[in-house]
Amino acid sequence: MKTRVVIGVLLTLLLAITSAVFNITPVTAQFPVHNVTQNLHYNTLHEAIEDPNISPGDTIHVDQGYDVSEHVWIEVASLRIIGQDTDTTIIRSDSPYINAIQVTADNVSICGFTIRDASGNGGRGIAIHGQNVEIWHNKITNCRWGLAIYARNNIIACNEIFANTERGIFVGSGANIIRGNDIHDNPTGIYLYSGSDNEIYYNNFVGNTYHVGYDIPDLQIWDDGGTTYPLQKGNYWFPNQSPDHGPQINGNSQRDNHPFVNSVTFNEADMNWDQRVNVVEEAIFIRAYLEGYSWCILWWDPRADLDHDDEIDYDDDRILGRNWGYKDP
Amino acid sequence: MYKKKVFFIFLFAVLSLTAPLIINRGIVTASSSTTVYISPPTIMANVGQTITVYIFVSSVSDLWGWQAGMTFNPNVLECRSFEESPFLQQGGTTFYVEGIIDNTNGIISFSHCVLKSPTSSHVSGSGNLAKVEFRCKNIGDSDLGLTDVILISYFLFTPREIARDITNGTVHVSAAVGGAEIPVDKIGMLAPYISLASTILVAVAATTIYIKHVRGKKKQ
Repeated sequence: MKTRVVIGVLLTLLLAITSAVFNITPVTAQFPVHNVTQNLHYNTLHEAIEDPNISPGDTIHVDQGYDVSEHVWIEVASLRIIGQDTDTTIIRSDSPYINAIQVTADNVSICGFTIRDASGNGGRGIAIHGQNVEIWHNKITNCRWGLAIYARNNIIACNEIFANTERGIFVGSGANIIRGNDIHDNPTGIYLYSGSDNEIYYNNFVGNTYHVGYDIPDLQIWDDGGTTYPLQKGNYWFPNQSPDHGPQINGNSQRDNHPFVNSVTFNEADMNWDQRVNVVEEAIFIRAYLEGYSWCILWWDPRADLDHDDEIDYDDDRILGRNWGYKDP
Repeated sequence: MYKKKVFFIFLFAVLSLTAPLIINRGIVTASSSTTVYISPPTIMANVGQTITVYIFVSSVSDLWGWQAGMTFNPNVLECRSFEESPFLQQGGTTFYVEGIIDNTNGIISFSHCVLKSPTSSHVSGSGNLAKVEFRCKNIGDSDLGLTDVILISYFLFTPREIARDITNGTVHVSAAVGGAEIPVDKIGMLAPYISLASTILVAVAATTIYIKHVRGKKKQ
């Protein structure tokens, strides 16, 4: 019996010493970037994206505390790239003259990052050349152009785009959704270069030198299509730059006829920033709740973490439940 | 002889190709747009009877989830239930939550249904989304108005709404004794079977004629 105990103690000691000598620590602590689809781990997002093993449909998570100078150019379709915490998951452009993030593939989602410092000529925080790209819950600052859209059918939602050196958002294509963003303190908030039928509403335009600039006055959609005021709502403009608020493009042919009186806010359970809580929120929640309820699980979706405790659980379900059916107004 | 043979083969081919088109014309809708409607659109019923209507979707592509509510005249009808129909279950297991039935004000808040697993398949085509039962409690008319109808697809990170049209329904409740008269498109319901049977019949007839023709030729 004594011999067994001694052997047990010795083995435990041996294991402890080995761990200390070879510095064995959990892989997640060493590598902050995870391709959770393939269980691969990296030092930087750039490495993860450039890895020849990456495949369309992969999900990549980046831990909070990540702060790296790099550029991330995405050419693989259907990637989901998620930062754990917008404020503390930071990508700094490694040159002011190039794009910090460039998306040339379709169906890519990027959320949860602070993107900054592409402030030189030609520098953009995020440049979108693919279609069906979703950019949401990011902060983009100190770039020449915060975000540039060159393709159609993309969603730009709930981002804070501020203090960029020339333009907050550059729009060079049509049929995009630009919704729920805080666009503030830029020389020009949004610049419309080309493309029509972009849905631009529920945004806060605050403190920009010019809220809207344009090259060609293509027709845009400045409100949510409700039939009567106050069902029809546009954007919040502060300070007002015209008697009618917001843009006056080509005289009065384009303007926000139904601006918000106060800044736009969203219901706590509104996961797609459309001022409603309905089957869309249920679909997002159910997928995240049943398939991946904690950080670094494949189907983790920060929008479903309504109480922000890094777990998608019954507490979040209760928040969704108590806001169910919400519709503004 | 050769001319006859060619004629029969030609007849067989033409009938085989056109029969399904002709017979099925009643149920193939030419509309390319997605429509959510109440089926049947009009119901004649009597006081005391229970009637069933369906919320039907036609020509939908890539459906992942839906929601719908309804309004009705509470003086005429009393809603008994609002249940999921199996159309969306073609894609996988669903999560369904029934709305709240308010028989005082004639409002059914929206029920909703989504596919559960990310590996489920989107559903396309036409079918019943929900089944709604009413008791006819008084003489009168009631519109059945669809409310809060949303159809979604979910390929990417954020579900997207599918554009759709809506058509409402009507119920007429009378005091007359007798069963409820619910108009049914019988030809439409039987069309696929008639089509199949006629195609088989034509094929068998043509084959028989052809075999007889070949045998006759051999005997000669």
